[in-house]
Amino acid sequence: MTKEQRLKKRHNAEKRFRFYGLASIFFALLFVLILVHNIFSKGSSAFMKTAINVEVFYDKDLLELELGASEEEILEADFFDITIESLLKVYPAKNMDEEDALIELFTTDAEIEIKKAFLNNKNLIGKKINLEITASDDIDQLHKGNYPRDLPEDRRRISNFQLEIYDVLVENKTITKNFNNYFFKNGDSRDPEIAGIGGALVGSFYSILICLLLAFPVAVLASIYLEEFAPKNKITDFIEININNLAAVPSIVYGLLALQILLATIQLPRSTPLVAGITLALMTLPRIIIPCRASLKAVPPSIREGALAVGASKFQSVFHHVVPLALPGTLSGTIIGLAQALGETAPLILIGMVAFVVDIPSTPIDPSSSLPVQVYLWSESAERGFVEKTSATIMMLLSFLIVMNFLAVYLRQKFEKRWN
Amino acid sequence: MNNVKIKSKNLNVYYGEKQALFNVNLDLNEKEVTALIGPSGCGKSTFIRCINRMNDVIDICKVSGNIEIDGVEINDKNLDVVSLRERVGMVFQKPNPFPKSIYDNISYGPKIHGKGETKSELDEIVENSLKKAALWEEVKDRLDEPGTGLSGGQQQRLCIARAISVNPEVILMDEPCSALDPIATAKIEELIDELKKPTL
Repeated sequence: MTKEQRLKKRHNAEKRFRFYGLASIFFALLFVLILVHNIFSKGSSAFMKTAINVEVFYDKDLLELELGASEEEILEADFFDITIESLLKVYPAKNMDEEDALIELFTTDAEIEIKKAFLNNKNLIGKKINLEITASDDIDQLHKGNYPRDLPEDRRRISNFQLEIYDVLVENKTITKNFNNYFFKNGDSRDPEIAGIGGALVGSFYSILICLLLAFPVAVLASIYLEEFAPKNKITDFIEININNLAAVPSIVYGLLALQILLATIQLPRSTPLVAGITLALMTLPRIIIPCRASLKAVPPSIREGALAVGASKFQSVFHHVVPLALPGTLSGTIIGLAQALGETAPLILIGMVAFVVDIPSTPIDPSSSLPVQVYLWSESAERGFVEKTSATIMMLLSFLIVMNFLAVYLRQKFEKRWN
Repeated sequence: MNNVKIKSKNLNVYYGEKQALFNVNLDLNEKEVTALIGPSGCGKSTFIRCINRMNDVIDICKVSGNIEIDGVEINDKNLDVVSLRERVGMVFQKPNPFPKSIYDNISYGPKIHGKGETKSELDEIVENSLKKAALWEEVKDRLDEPGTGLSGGQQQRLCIARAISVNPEVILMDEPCSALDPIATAKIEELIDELKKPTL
């Protein structure tokens, strides 16, 4: 081969390599785009909810309340009758069946919404007010265009009569789309229109907090001891191999461990963020120790020697010089470990977080759900309204993960110090 | 004739199976600059690292025999290496300033040994150490800048100033100029000559 041929061959090889690299990045980005597009197109509508404008008359006789009634009296009062009366005024219904069909257009929580409006303004007795009452899941989906109306009636969840009412409502502009505050505020529900991720958000927050409080100090101290102080012998080798193995153990195994030890033996309350946090901490521990040890290892030995040579003890050289230098790597390793824990589903299902919990937990020992488990729960539900809620929850989860990963990169760049 | 400061008797050093030093018997005098010369790998660094027990850091390194400083055996398990290293400072082949400010680089040693209780005492130690290391004029206006931002020769003089700051009786230098240009080398050689003077 001549010199020119060799040169040409080398250039071609470089070109090919460049092409392969660009192609793989292109495909990776393409799949990310498809994923994000899929989630966004399905989930973005969940941030809006459909409401129907209803004129509510707080009839003194039906409510059996006097002006100036106390909050307790109002809470105990029966708003059912005025709810039905108000809802029926939306459209003239001819018989009982049609009345039922009309009321089905509204959420089952319509009575509570009417009561809440009254609690906000207690002078409404004997007065009329226009309220935006949340529409039922079926109308919500129809209004968002997620529901095919050209199906034959017997295969539709919405009857022809209901469609007729809906069209009139659209014409009168009494049906509107508002920001869906229920999605963030409410706990889980059987009715998609009032189901929210409030409980899952709080549950995930408590779980990750407990996981951080348990895993971070233990992992950092363990890695400092193993890397800097422990003698290098068979026992520490054995521990190191085991830590690496634990990081690769499927998360469901940790769930089984927690089920047996935390729930069956210690009898901690099941379905709680406390147990979830402990389980996730066990799982995250080796995943934090590994990057933490790596960043300790990356501190050049010359720094340790420099400290020792001016008469610092081993302890001082580690805590004054090595640990501060390893901190950025440690922090970003911890955050990435926590991000993994945030998205973990399998162990939480085993410890009972998959239970249907309506209430938003106020302490870590209340039963609760968590974001990934909520995704799992809703993705199994038959109602069409849960499809968009599933995707919207995934969007929330993804945005938390993105924020955490950015934080990890930011901390690493901000605190990273250069040596030589 | 100066008194003998460091006395090594039948010193043997092993790295695992391999023996690096064979029966070194050497007397080093006070207030003198002693240079060890030899081909690479002959054990110069190994020997001087025995004098402040820096070989302790290397797991596989074993030292047998005796080294005495002022007649006190230092190869003793019960000896406090921290106070030994306070008396016997060391400068390494490659400059290794801490990734901290120039001021913190110098004040770290005095701080951990409880010298310089007040800020003004520490300021004085920093200034004197940098002056002795012939670096004061170059850095006096930027003491809060990172020590790692200095040039190679300045970094090495900073390391010498750091070693001086705790007022050691002996300074060990392990090829301190090997990574430096001839001008920086000349400066450090001059500095070494200054340091042996008893007045300093």
